Amino acid sequence: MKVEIKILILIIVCGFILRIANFSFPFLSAEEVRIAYRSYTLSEVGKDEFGRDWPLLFNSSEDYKLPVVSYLSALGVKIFGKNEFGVRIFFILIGTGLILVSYNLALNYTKNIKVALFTAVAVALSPILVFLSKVPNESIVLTFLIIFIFYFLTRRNTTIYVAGLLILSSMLVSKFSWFIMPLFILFLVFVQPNKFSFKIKSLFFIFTVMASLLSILIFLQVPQATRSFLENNLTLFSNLTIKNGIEHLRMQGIQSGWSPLMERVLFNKIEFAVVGLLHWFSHLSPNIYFGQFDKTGILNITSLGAFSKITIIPFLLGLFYLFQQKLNHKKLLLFLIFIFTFPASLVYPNYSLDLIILTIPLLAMIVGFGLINLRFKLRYLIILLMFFETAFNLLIIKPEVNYTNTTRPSWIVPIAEDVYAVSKGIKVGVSDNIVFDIAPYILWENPVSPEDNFLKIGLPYKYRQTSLNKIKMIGADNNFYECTPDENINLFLSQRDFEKINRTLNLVITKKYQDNLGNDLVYKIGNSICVN
Amino acid sequence: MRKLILKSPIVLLLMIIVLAGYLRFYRLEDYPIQLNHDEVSQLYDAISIATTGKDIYGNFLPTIFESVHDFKSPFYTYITALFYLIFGGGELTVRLPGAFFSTLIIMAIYFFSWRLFKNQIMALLASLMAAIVPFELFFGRKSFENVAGIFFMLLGFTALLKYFENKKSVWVYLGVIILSIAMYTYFSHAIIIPLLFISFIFIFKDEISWTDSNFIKAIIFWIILILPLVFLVITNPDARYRSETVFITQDVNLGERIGLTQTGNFLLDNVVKLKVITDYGFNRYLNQFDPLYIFSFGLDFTNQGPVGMGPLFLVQLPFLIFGLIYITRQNNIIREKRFILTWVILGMIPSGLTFESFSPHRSIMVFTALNIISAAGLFFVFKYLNNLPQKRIFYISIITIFLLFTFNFVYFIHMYTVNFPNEKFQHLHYPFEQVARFMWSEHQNYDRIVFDPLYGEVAPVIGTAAHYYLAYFGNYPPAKMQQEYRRGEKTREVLFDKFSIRKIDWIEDQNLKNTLIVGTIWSIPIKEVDENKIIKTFYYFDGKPAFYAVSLK
Repeated sequence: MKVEIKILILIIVCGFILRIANFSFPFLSAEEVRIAYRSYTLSEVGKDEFGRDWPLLFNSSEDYKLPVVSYLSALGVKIFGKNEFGVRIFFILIGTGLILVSYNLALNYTKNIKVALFTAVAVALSPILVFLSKVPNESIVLTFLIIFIFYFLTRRNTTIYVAGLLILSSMLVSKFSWFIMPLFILFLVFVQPNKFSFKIKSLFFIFTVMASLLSILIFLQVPQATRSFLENNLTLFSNLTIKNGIEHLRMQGIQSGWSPLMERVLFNKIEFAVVGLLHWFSHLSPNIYFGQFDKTGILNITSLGAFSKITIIPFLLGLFYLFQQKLNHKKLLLFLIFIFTFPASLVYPNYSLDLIILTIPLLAMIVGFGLINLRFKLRYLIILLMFFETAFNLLIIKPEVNYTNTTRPSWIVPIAEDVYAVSKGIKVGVSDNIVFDIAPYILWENPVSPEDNFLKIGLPYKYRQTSLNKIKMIGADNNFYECTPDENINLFLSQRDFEKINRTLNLVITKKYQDNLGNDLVYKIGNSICVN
Repeated sequence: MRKLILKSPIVLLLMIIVLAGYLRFYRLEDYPIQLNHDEVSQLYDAISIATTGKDIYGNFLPTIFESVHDFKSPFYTYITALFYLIFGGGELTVRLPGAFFSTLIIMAIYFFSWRLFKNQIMALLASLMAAIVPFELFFGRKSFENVAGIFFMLLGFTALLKYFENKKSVWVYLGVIILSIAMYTYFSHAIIIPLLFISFIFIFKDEISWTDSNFIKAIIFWIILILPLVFLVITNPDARYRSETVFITQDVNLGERIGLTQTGNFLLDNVVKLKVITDYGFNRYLNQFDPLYIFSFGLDFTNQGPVGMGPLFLVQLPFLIFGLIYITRQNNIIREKRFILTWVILGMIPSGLTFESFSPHRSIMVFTALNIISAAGLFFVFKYLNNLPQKRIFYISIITIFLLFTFNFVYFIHMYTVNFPNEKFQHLHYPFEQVARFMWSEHQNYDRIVFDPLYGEVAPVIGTAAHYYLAYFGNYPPAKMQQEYRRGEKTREVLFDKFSIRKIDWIEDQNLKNTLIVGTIWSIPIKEVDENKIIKTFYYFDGKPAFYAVSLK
């Protein structure tokens, strides 16, 4: 076996170990646990949590979700049972596979085995790619597919049909794919050097455009599809801050004696394009890649960027190395980063962090260029530090668990178990602000039967469950009163509801639950208080 | 054109300097619309120094000015004192040094860029850019010591680069002297300049012979020159207080994060705490390179989110990218390009280590470097267009670029003269000047004048430097101020002459006799006050009521 292959295997094994280390970290978020429960119902009875047979579109609290992630997870649950391992395993495998695909792409693209190996190292040690390999999510799957398509279309022996199949698959992973794929393929077949004839190139491009358009058209048949696009993918145009800002500043000018015509020239709808453009570029800021990627802890460890901090050194070196090159296919790599992130120009003020994830293997390649330009000792010192920072954050998880106390609430498990246990006998009321969406936790953490909990709702948009058999979610507008003798209910109250009734009614607290920070968060109230 | 430029670069440079001077000095007293708290305190302290040798608190020739308990570096106040002796005590006096150095910086940028890139056209473009870019004009027109510091930095490094060319000892000594002066101008320069100087020596190590006694002597001379500053920074508690209060650990969010790191293990807790601070600081540092900040809202001119003004023109963005590509591809300036990039990397450190999310005033040296790089990009584009066979494309492109810059410039002028005062008047303590003048006009009619500087249109903030506004706009003799100034017993109370600057307790204060009370709705329940007692209303810049003067006879 060649030395390079041995090194590659070592990198992949190291990447795999990082991905399975501290297996239960991170605790699943409400959104992820919904996918987990759905994968269970799909694997058990072939229906989603609403009771729909083999659907191609799912619900979530933020937007509709495409099917690949849920079905992948379902496959894991089918094989390994209703547990975290089943939910996470395929994403771990995809995340590990991404190391191999990135290596192959870099080798094929740069013809430099060292760059390819260093690219694999950067992908293997990227905190965000490690993190996303541990939870069910679209980003890691789409990144894998896109890099695979990139590799597939730039290698010597390519079967165009397989590439077509991969593109179709990507259309079922994330909506972003519909926007990115046509430009990506246009770039790959027409700008990057390849062996295809013009006719094949054109046909392939047309196929991709048609696939994207068809996906969009099919999606538009969903009742709330337009709203979904406007609220998630095109928010720039409905942004009131920009609109009001233009009018406000223009009015100030007119009041100060500037001509209305001049005001229209200076402040107009072009501002939307300017903000969109800068917001797009803002996605490529170094702080996102090397500082803090996601402060909520949903997409990454909160204190880390896409790469370890030290990686910025080889990255900058690699970038300047590419700048120094004459315009060749290596340099064209930089354009791809802009292509992958361009939908971010249509979304403001939120950051479309999922798009940035797609660029990480490309940046890893730039890091690879940088590493080969470093002196031997420095190069390996940097790799060591990259490993150390990622590993440290994966092993010392207490601070991260505290930071993500609300977004990844591991303390919810005993509450979910107790709520379910009580609900088998009597009615239960649960405050709806204990966590963002408690229903999936109750369903996932307990031995529920899927058929008992089907909701029989079509395709609700931004859905959040408010009842579950005998369990009722208590909102801020619900009122409390002392139960009559024939009423029998247990309450699990958050601080909000507890304080609301503690002033007027006599409460008998039977149990207190604490969060990861040790704060009393939920109070279990016995059969004395009822809710209307 | 090229021949013309090469033939008479100094004439062109002079024209650019005249343009820069015009843009900086024209209606300098009108824009910004009012002296802000830094300006008024520096001006009055400067007058105090020039007339008595002491600041208003009675400190003789202080090395650090307590000012409004923010402990300002002394350079700008002393230079303003010098200008006071020449031009008198008008409001303009405090802005003149800033505008003066901001105009001179054009020349410094020209020589620095020329030495760096060995290209006169590029150097002229860099100085032209500096003459018109938003951050240079904005900071040049408000009294701000950092501009002077950067002027000296540019000159100092230019002198050192010149020394490498001709090895004449005068340049190396001049270089270190000027760099030392730069370090004394602004606190963050005291840290950044040594770092940059060490990097400079490292980058240009091939140019330095360690047997070159001039260079060694100059370094020793530099160390001697900066020793008092090092001594001051280490021993002066005020300087330490200043550093501590602006350091990143004062950030509330960081404090919260540190509080969440407890693992129960003492050693691990300290490691994690250090890591959290490092992570946070590093992220903040990198955040300063966000394009939205640099090109869209960095100067904080508006309250309209991304619709604002960045330190650089938007049109400079592509030229900045071209400039980076161009200079990295130049193989004849390897050390020079490393130096300018090091300048950018080190220059952002002060902003990254302070408690504010963004502090453009601490990043001016970086904006200066980015401006120079964008000029290199502009040169690269001109060169490329000039080599095209079709001259028509060249001319159309030149006209387009000119029009885009013109549009950006007019946009900036609109923002600066119209939107900035309308949106950010509160940052300028508007209308403290009118309030101060009015209180002096009523000075003889009352036994006591109470002023509560708690103000704000949306939320209340305490306006600092109220005693400076009163003293300056009342032409109050600094010598008398030094004797009269004292702290009172009431909340936030500062006393001098008949003035009591403090929190108004209306329930108690409404019973005062022969007193003028000035405050906002945050301290006076104005609807309950007899209308006849309200003798004057002051308005914010946007026309909404701000302060009320209530006469209690």
